[in-house]
Amino acid sequence: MANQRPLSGRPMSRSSLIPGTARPPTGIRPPQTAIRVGTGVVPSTGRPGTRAGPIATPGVLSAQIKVTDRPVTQQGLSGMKTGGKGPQRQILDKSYYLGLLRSKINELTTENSKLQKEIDIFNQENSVYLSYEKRAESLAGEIKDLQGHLADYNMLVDKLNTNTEMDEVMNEISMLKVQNDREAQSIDAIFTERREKEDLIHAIEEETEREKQAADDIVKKMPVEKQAKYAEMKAVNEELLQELAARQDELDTLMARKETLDAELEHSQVKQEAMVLYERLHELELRRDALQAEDKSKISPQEERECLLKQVKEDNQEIASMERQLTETREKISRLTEELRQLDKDMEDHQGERTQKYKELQKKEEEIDAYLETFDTNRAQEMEHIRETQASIVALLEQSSRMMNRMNQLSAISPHELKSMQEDLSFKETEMQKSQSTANGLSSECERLQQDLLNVERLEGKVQSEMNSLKEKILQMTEGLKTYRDLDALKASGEHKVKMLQEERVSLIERRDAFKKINHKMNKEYETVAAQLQENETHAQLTNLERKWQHLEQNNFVMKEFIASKSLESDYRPVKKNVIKQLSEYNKILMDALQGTKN
Amino acid sequence: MLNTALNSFGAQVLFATSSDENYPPERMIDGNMETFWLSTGIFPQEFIIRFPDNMKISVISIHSFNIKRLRIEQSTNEEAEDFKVMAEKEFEQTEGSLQTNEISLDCSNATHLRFLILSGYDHFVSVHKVGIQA
Amino acid sequence: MVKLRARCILVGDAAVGKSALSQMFCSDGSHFQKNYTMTAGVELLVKSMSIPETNDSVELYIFDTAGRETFAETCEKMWGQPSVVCVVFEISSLDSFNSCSRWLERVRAHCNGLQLPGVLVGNKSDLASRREVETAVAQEWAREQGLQYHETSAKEMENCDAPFLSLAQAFHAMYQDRRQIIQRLSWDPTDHQ
Repeated sequence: MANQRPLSGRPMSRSSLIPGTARPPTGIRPPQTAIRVGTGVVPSTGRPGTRAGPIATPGVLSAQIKVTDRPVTQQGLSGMKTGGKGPQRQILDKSYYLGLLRSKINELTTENSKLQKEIDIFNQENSVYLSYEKRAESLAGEIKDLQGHLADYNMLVDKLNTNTEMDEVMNEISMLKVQNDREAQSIDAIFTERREKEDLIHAIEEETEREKQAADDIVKKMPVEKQAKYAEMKAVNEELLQELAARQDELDTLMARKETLDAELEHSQVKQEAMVLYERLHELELRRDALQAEDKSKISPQEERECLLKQVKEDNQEIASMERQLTETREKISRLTEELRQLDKDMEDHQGERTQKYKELQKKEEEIDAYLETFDTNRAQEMEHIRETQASIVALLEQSSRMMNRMNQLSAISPHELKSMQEDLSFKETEMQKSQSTANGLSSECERLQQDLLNVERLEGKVQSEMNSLKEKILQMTEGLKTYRDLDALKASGEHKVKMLQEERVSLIERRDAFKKINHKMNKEYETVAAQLQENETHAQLTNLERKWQHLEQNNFVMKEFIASKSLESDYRPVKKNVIKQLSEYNKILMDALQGTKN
Repeated sequence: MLNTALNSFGAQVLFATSSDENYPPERMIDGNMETFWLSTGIFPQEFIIRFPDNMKISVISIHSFNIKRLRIEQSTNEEAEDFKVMAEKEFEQTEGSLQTNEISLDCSNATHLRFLILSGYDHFVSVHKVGIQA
Repeated sequence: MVKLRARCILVGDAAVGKSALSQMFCSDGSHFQKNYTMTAGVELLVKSMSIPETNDSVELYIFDTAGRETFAETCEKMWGQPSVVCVVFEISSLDSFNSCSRWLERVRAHCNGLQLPGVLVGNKSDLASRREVETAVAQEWAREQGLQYHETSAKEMENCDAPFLSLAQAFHAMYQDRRQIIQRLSWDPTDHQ
């Protein structure tokens, strides 16, 4: 921009080269500020100033310049807006910058006023805040009270929840009351004590006052010189006291400062180090000062040398005396140690023998004691042992005698043979057991196999029958195959059958319909005839009569039945028959008997 | 014409009072003497033959067995109704051969013919062939 | 499969139990009239019986005829041509048995010389204590007449189906017989030709 301006003086080339792209970046900026101003406090004053400048003069200028670029009509049509925007960037002369500055100034003033307002608001808020704080305090107090109440209530609820008995609560209350009373009493006591103390203080104060007065009196009674001197001293005293107070204050401040510094030091290592160094420096300075002082109070070297020599002599003497004393004491020590050794030897010689003997005797005594104590039990044990051994001996003897007898019996067989035989026997026994178990196993196996055999036989029968049936089936199937092989014939016959059946179906359906019709007709006929019959009076009469007759016949039948059953009950004929039969039999028997006696 | 099968020109047995599936009533009009319709008991027995057109009938021939009394009725209606008696005849009993009878009619028209077998010489009767002459 | 129809004439003296027997049979034992009801004229009952070991069946049209002489004439008019006959008497009444021959004659008179299968039924077998007709006697007479003999008790529902089954079987056998005859007959002409 700065380079372009001196060249052309106008952004002609720019606008002509890139009018579209050049416009937006600058074009956007002014409106932004304008909007900001608008939100400000004084928009009306800010805007016209900025606008009036550029619009009035450059409006004409732009028209002259833009003859090549744009038609005048276009600008004239778009009016103020385009006119205002265009020239603002186009002509950067004095008035333009003036306008710019003015606008900036305006902005600053508005900003200032805004800040002022904010400050006012802050102040107000601050005062409000103070009042709020006060209120908060009062409210906090209230809250505390209420919290106390709440605690009380909570306790009460607790009691209620834990089902505390009324008595307990009462007890507690009484206890608390007592405590309360006690504390009140103690407070009272403290209060009275305090009173006393105050009284005492008063008394002492009074006394001091009196003493002061007495002192004043004494001072007054003193002569004038002394009085003056006193006054002077008093003044000095007061001065010193003041100074003391001041120094004290200074000290306090210094101490405080030191503390803060220390605290600071603690936090930084470098400072600590510095302090250490400083301290060393301080030390060194002190030494330097001392050395300087020494240097200042220097004596001549001669004197000093003499002095030193003197001192050396003295020292040497002292050393010599010390050495002498040392040797003396060493000798003494060696002598005494010698003596001590000798004494020890003597002691050992005497005491060694005796103690050994004594110890031996003591041991013996212990042994004897132990023996005596265990003698009885030992004896009993031994006796027992002896008895056991005797018993075992007897038993062994018996066994041996028995064995001897047996040996006599078995004398024929040599022991060797016997042994071999015994081995044989045991071996054979185990063999036998094995064989028995195998025999058992075999018999069970045999049973199982026989069962299996039976099963197999049964199965064989089944299989045979099945086979027969299967053979029959095969025959049937082969026959079937023969017929089914000739598919065409089968098909033909099937089709033929289907055809026949369909024909039959048709004819049968027709016949069914015919039947239905005829049946229907006949039913109608029947119904008409039946109706006629029903209408016929004679028929009705006849049926009535018939019913009556039927009833009579029924009665008749019942009576007949009754008679028949009764007559059967009173039928004497079977009885008569029976009697006659029996009679004739009896006669026969009689006759036989008579003939028998005759013969 | 008497020997041709009735069913060859479209005649049908519309109705028959007996039906053994082995001896269906169609067997009466198939022109075959070996096949026959057999009644299954109780008299009267009855069958109706329908012709496709109104036929002029002069003679009816019947091959049968054990029929005693036969009545023939005719109808000229489309439906099988309004029958009028044409003839009634008692057949001779035969043994070892079929009854062959020809019934002459006075050239009356008919769409349906009803044959009523009123009684027989046995419980069961057979009809082997029915023929007509126009 | 064929359904035959047979006209079964049920005859016998009054109050021997014809109606009870037929009703018992037709209702499969669910219907027994305790009280006597005189039949005036003819009661027609229909019952189909399948013939064992065949697909065929016989429909029995039972003409339950009044036993009283007064109705005899009217009843006979209704019989038509009988297919089978069932003569009933009661075993506790010798008179009813003696009437049987008369009843049989009467039915046969309507047959025009046709073969007539029939059964003789001795009803009321529950009244054995009052028996007047011995089984052997009845059997003998039935044999003579070419009838099957059955003893039944409609009251006790005993054996009620038997007489009718034997009738149906006899009728069926007759049909088979006639069928074969006719079949043979119709084949003969072709043989001769």
